[in-house]
Amino acid sequence: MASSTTPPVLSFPPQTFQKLSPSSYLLRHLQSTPPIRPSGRSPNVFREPTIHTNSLSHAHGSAVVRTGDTAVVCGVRGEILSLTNGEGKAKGGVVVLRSSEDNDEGFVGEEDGGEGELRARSLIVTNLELGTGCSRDYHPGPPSDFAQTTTSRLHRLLLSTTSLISPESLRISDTHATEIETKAYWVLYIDILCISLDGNILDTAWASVIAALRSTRLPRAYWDADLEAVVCDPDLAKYTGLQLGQLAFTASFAVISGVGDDGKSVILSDPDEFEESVCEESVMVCIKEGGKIARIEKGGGLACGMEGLGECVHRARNRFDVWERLVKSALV
Amino acid sequence: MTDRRRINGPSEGTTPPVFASAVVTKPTPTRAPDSLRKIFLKTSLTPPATGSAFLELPSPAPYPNSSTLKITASVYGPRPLPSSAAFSPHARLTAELKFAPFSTPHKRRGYVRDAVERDLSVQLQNALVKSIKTGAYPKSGIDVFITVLDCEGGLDGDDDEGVEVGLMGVLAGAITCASAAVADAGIECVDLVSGGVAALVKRPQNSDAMDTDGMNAPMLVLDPSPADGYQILSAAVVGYMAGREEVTLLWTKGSVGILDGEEDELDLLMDGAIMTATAVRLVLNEAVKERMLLGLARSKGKLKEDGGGDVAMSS
Amino acid sequence: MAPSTLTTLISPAELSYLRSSLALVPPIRPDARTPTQFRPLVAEIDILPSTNGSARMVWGDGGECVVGIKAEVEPTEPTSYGKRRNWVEVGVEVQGQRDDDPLGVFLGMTVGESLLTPTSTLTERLVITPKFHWKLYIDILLITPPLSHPATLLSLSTNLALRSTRIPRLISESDEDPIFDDDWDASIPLYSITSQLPPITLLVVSVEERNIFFDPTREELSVGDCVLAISLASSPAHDAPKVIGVRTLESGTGGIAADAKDGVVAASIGGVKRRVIKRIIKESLSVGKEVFESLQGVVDAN
Repeated sequence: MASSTTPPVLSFPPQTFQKLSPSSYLLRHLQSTPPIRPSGRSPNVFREPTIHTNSLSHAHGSAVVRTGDTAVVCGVRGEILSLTNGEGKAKGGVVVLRSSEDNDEGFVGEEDGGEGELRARSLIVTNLELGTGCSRDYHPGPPSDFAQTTTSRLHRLLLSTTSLISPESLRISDTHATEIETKAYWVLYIDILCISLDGNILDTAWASVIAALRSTRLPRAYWDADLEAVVCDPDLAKYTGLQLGQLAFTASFAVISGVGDDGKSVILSDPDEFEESVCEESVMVCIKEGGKIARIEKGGGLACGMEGLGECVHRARNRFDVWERLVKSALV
Repeated sequence: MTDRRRINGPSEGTTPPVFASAVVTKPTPTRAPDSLRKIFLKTSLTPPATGSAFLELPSPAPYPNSSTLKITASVYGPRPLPSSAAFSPHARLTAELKFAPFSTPHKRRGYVRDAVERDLSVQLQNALVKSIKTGAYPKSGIDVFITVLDCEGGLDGDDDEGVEVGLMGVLAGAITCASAAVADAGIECVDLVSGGVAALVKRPQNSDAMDTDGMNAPMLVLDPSPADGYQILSAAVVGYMAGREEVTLLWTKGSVGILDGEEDELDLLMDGAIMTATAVRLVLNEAVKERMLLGLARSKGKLKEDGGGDVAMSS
Repeated sequence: MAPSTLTTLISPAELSYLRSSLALVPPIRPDARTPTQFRPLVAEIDILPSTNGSARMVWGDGGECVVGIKAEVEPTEPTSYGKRRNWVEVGVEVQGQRDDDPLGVFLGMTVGESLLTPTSTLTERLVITPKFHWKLYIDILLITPPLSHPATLLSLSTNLALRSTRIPRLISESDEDPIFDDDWDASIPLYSITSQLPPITLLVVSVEERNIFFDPTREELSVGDCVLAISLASSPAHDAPKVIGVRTLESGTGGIAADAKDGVVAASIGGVKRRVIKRIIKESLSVGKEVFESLQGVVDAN
């Protein structure tokens, strides 16, 4: 037998390579010049989003947002929390809440942007549903850990980070009484359904929440003293939008270390499902109007230093402009 | 009991807005009884799924009854059954239908599947399974997920006032949408299934029917919508395989007259539903064809791309 | 996947044999019944003294079903969106199954749907005064699930229970809060002899277009082409019952059909022609008439 035959070269089609060794598959892509991601994007390129608002008939506000292959539907519905029956009464009468004296019942006051009141009354109910067949990893049934974490991140962004909704706009008062009494509240149920999941659900879901809230129009609600109940005016012309605070948008990044020989890391904007599954370090930057940094989350690794964070903030500011333009043009 | 895995609303509970003028004027039908609505059906809108489809049915009436039907379907499989499952010589199909919390009028829907959703899921499963060559996929599972994003109402159930067709419309839409998604997934089928609804309604008083006999006879309406405002006496939904001229599902509600020999109400209703389903089938064909052509074009492009070998394994 | 009601533990060869014998003309059923013959059953009514109406039925194969009906006074909400459907609540409990089991859901939906069909006039009879109505709780307990599909058993028991249901007589004026006569002998039957009778649901399976079987066993269901649950309503005035609802059940998917062409056994796929459905429904009308007559016999005997 001839022993001089060269050993056969092992070769796979790219799909097999990706399945066998996902991290080196990604690295090989990023090591090429110029670095290119498996999806064909450059590291600093976000996927192009689209927004459609008010396409649902039974929600007070809604938005469909798609970035690449990640698509979500967000519906906002207002329901009424009556303070005069049930627990409100048992707790010793109607709570008087005027903007100047919000300290009743342990509310912290205006300096927290009304977060205390919103939280104490559970006036904002945010939920993300992934069990819709959006990806093969999530099944119908109780929400997965990932869905729960993302839900609470969105909830925190909405209530603490951005203070987008002020409790005043949700109060329903008895305007005829001498003293302004809050008789009831609007409770906003914000349900986000993921229709298709290909990574970076947070940015897309958050944008859908913003767009849906901006499109929300609630009927005029007033206290009817005769009926002793909150009644709404069916007149469409009297429906009003929510008073929302400054816009804010998030941008998520995946940090891949050890790309170059010198251990250089690469920051990927808007990672897709495959990139998320490979990367260990992630960064999220939330930018408010005027380029202000509202929140930075970073975890999972040490490769991204000050310089990297600066780059993330820079990219997030550019991304903010894209979202802002889109959200504003979606609602004319 | 509160759901600890979700963010909950106030423990006192909330009520949907109650409007001052509770005068609910029943809308008057604005379209011909045999007119069918245009359906929007598109496949592959959920790329992570093996196959998917989106269906939209526009409203027949102007505001405030202008609700639409919007359904997404995604299919995963055939994939191996979980190791806990018993041996199965053919593919097991499961269908899960869920209404989005904001999809229905009045009250929000819960997150946990209720009896209505379970019932529709089972019916959908029965309608679909007969079209799939389950024998070709032993020991496999095919999972169909349906999400109703928006529906036309008419879900309150039947009473002496008449039959509600809302759920039937949802089921028919779900059948069509799911069948498109199954085809999109490339699963072997004997035929496509389309859903169709028809109803027998009380003839409107101002109807210009000349004969007095005809005045009392019910009128056939194809593709009825709760927004039309008919008083519906009976309704039927079919799952129909137009290629084989076979019915995979029949669900009727309301009293239906049956006569010997001649054409009776049952024939009228069933033929009406089949007629609707056959028309829907044309849309289904187009959606599947469009996808097939796109797939062909793509696979050609992909071959070229692969030939280029953008990354080398050897290192 | 939810455990199928059709899960059978018999081999493909046995299924094939069963299907062939059911496809014969005339067909041969494993228990030698004629196609329209029901399995023997024992029925009794008014067995639970604390209910407004009750019935119990025992099937030959050991299936046992108890139905109890309670009526409660409930204020009628003027602004409620929920329609009168909420006036009847059906609960089905299948022993040994979770309460979200698809079988229980299906049975509950079928009973509820057939009771509240627009021509039933049931909700009209539940009205007490403009401000109050009776709320009907129908609790169905399948103590020992029968070997076959319980739809027929359950529907017949419910029918008997409803026919034995009596509601107290109102003695107050219509604008007052309702007060009732405490004399049980003065109570009024919910379904009087002259009014429309409560509906029944029959399970019917077809094999090979020509043969139709009533009260099928589980094995017969698993080789059928089409399984329909047909709800029928009857009033003594009309001699023929009317069809008030049809539902399709899972059929044959677990079954095996002999493919004559290549002599192999293949999983049965495909639907049925509409004329088959028409025949099934038509045949169920004449059988339904007999069932209503025998149910009347049970009521008369008590």
